[in-house]
Amino acid sequence: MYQSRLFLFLIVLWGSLQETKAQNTNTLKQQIQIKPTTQAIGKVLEAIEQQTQLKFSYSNAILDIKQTVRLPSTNLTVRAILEQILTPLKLQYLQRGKLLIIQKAKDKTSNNDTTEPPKPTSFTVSGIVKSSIDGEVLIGATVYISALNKGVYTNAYGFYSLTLPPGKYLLQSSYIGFQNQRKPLHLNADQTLNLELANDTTELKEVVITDDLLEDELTRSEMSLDILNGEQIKNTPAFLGEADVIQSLLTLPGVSNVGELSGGFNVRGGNVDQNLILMDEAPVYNSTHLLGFFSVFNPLSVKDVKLYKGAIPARYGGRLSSVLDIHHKDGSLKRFKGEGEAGLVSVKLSLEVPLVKDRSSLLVAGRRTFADLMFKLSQDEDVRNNRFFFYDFNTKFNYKINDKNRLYISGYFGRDVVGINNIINFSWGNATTTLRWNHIYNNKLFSNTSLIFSDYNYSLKIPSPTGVLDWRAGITNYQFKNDFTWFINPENTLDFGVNAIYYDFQPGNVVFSGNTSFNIFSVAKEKALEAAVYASHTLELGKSITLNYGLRYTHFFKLGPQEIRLYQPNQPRNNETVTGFRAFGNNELIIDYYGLEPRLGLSWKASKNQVVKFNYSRNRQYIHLISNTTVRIPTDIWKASGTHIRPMTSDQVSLGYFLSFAKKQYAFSVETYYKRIVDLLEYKSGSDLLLNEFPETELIQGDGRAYGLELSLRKNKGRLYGWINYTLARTERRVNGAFPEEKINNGAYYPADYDKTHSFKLLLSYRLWRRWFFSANFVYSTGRPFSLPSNKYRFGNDVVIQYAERNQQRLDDYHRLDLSLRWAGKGTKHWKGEWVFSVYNAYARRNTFNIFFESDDELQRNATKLSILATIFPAVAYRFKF
Amino acid sequence: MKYHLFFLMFFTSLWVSCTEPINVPGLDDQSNQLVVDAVFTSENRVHVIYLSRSTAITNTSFPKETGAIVYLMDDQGNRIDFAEGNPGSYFSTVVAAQPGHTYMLYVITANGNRYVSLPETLTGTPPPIKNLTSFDDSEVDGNGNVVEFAQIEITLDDPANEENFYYWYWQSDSLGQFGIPDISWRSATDSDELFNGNEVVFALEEEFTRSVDRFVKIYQATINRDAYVFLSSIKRQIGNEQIPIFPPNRPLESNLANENDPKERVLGYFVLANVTADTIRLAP
Repeated sequence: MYQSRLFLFLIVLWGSLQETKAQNTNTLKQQIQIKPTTQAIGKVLEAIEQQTQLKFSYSNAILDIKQTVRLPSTNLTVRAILEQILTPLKLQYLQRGKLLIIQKAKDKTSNNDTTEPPKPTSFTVSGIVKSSIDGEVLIGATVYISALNKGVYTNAYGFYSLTLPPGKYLLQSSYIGFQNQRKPLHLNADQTLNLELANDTTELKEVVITDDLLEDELTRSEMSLDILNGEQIKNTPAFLGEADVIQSLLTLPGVSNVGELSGGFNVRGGNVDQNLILMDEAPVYNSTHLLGFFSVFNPLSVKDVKLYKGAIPARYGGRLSSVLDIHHKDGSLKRFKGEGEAGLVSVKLSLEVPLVKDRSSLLVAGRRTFADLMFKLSQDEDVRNNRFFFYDFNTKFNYKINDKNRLYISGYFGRDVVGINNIINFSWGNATTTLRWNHIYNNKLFSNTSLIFSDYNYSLKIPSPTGVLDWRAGITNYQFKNDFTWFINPENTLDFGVNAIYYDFQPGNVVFSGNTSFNIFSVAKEKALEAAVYASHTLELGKSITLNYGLRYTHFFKLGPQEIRLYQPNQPRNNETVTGFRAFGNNELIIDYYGLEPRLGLSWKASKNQVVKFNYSRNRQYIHLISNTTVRIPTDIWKASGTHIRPMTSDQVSLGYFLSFAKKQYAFSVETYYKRIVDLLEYKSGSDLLLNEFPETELIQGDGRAYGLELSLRKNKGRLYGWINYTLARTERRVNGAFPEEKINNGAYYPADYDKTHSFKLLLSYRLWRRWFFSANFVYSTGRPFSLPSNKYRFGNDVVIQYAERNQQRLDDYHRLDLSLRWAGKGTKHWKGEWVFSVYNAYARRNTFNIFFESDDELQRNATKLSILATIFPAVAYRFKF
Repeated sequence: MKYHLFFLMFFTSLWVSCTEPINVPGLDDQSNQLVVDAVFTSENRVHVIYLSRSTAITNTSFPKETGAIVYLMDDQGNRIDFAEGNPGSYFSTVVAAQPGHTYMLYVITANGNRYVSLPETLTGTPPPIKNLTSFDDSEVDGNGNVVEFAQIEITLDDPANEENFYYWYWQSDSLGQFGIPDISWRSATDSDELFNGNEVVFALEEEFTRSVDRFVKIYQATINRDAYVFLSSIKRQIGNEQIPIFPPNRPLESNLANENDPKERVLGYFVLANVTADTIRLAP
């Protein structure tokens, strides 16, 4: 019985093989429609690839695709065309399935030639890894030769390069959510091999964290790095069902905030302004909408999110605590596709349009909240006149000029608008534009050149019967950067580049138009230039140790025109100690700061499933968010370091252990870190920073320290998957100036606003049935610190509350459970839809955001607890793809 | 800036429904710092200086500082005594601060501690109140009843080419019978930073009930920069307390100190003010 089944199986297998072989042979006989004109060899090969299923692999060193060839007729077979092209060039092709490898023709006399040069000891295979569905380049995909235990990751543009000894290999490529691909590689010359990975059977796939990601943690030398993709973000239960990048980041260890409505996030004890947030390389200066409820990143257009929490690579700089590097999708090169979502709060739509198939595409994505449209239904005119919404718009155009050059243009524009019955009109938002050029110099050298514009501004308009008060402020920057990656060989990779940022700070300008008694009021603008050069070397020492070391040098120039206040030496800076002003002319150097930022990473693969990593990094930050509020608000302004405010510097060391077990179903990691910050900017108690011409009188600089332990357990496969994270952390500040007014808490260390000793986060997903998915997100953390009043006194008709020490008490503990249920419809070939039902704060926990002291009469003050999202928020959303 | 506060108040109002009283331990700590509330003006009248002590945040009253000796000395050698009329309230005879004179306030408490202010000089003359106008701000309450509110605006011409710091205090009365300004009067401050040299309209941040507050008397005073910083800081801090994202208040610098123990923190301020006044009658 079994023998007969085996026999049958062998027959089928043999038949299949014969059929495949016949198909391949037939493909070579297929006629190609091509014009009998003189044209580049590259064009001819491209025509063959388009009209057949064949793919070419060749080295630029042996085949110049720009060289022209004239074909004798229109309908030639593939074989005839190749012979026409290759024979005169003394080249031949070798077929491996659907892959045609072009190589030098064997010289039959060469065996007798004693003068033959020595054979090269290595060749390079390089190319782009992309999705077969839409041509989207895949960032961080693995390209691996298992026989040699060597592999690389594609860079931010999908490029990889592997230099290996000559030989025959099986090249494997994998990426989260895509099927692994294996291709035979006969490496006897430098080759370009572009890879296209097919999507996994997406909708019903229960695994969001694949073993590829696990491999990342075990094999890459970088540590303190978290990676999320668009699907993971969309599947995390969220407030009002609105999938959100920052809310997803908050499920990770070491990432926290002060509570709901906090306008940003804190990484390992860093302030909100210590995160470098990049959207397609452009810095984003305010990452949230609606005062922190939602982030500015449309989840439908997000392709890849990387958060560096500590081991920040040398190519990044300018912030102390983290880099959040977000790339939007490039847009499908294959077919028109779209994605959308309608929820209780907003509608979102993303369209991907191939302009020229396999060469150029356009992404357009937008969203807008519509809750304010309900105002229009009100009977009350005052309510009808209210406005409260945000919108944003992303676009990205990419054009593949040729195999070695690719151009990207991307842009973002978003705005929040609040209008209260013509009493006040307030709006704020970001705008960015990025022009990028990828160039492949050769198989080993890749470069990216970018020109970047970024702007954040706000506008506050207050109409009156006689005129309008118009208050504007913001920050604008223009940036040039050029990054290179040199894949010397699998053991050595060198990253290097330059970067220059020109800043234009507009701290505040108030204009009164119309018939008004108010004068123009303006806080002086600031200009600055930040230049950087860096190099970083990744070196594999044997099979188990990877060393990464790098150096970044930064130089910051504060430029005129500006009038700088001078203060008495050895006196506190205040209005009484002013001695005069010094005026600086346009572009005159006011002051400069510079320094080296060393980076070091060491990874030791203790066994196949265990890795130990160490990292040290120093970072400098030259620009500061001037804020004295518990949470970030839109009117906070950015300011340059200068005569009176020094740049901040941080040093961080971290040590981690990573383990996979149970056939890679589970991943466990423990990381510990210690970070020290020098010249940390703090505000004096009760400071008034708004439209302050001389904020140096309200700011003081001290130092900070943050240390902690992060534990993470992930389950990567099966119907149930997710992670449990626990963080034990401490974040402290110390301000111990020379004068009493330059001390906080008498110069002792005190906890930062967002210091949380214990944080526990649980994110689980479970496939209930074939099309039903359940997710739960639970968070618990120690209450954050707050300042308790010490006493009160009366002056006139006013009661003044006094505070003795900052942040010496704690709010009660924070915990919350969010649930979601997703039903994926069967859909059709052209339309797939799913419903998402979610509940935020499922058991209606009234978490304390802050405690303040309210008056119920003129003299009495009562402690009052403020909870922002103190009830259950159910939501429903419909998502679709076509 | 008040516009900014207005904006933040709006967002705070979104949260109001999520507030609840809470017991916080540690609020009943007692405190015992001397508080001096002294405003001496160019108006020829009885002036009052209030002495009290700071107290725990949960207390409903403020301890009075009784049995103190309180007097002013000017640079001409004149002494103005203040006698304790009510506990903690010290009254002068009818007297006015003189332009160009420099005054120092002395307080000797019952336990013998001597407190003295920095010298303060009465300079400048306040621009007259050019116009007092009221406008209707009536609204319908939750029961559908019309509540007739009025708001009052002060018009003045700010002198050009000089810094001016304004201090307004006002009181309403149904009969128009006003006593001497005391600690029950409402107050406001502003500087001419944004309107120097212009005619300006200042709106009082109080809604007056037409049927009750038929007369409103308003004093307009000019004060020096330091007094303005102190008074405006109090106003800003009180505004911030209602918006629970602002930092805790800073200790406000007084212009008084303990002669024997300079490290002792004294609360309050000795304000010297040049004043003018006017009264408006609200139409029913």
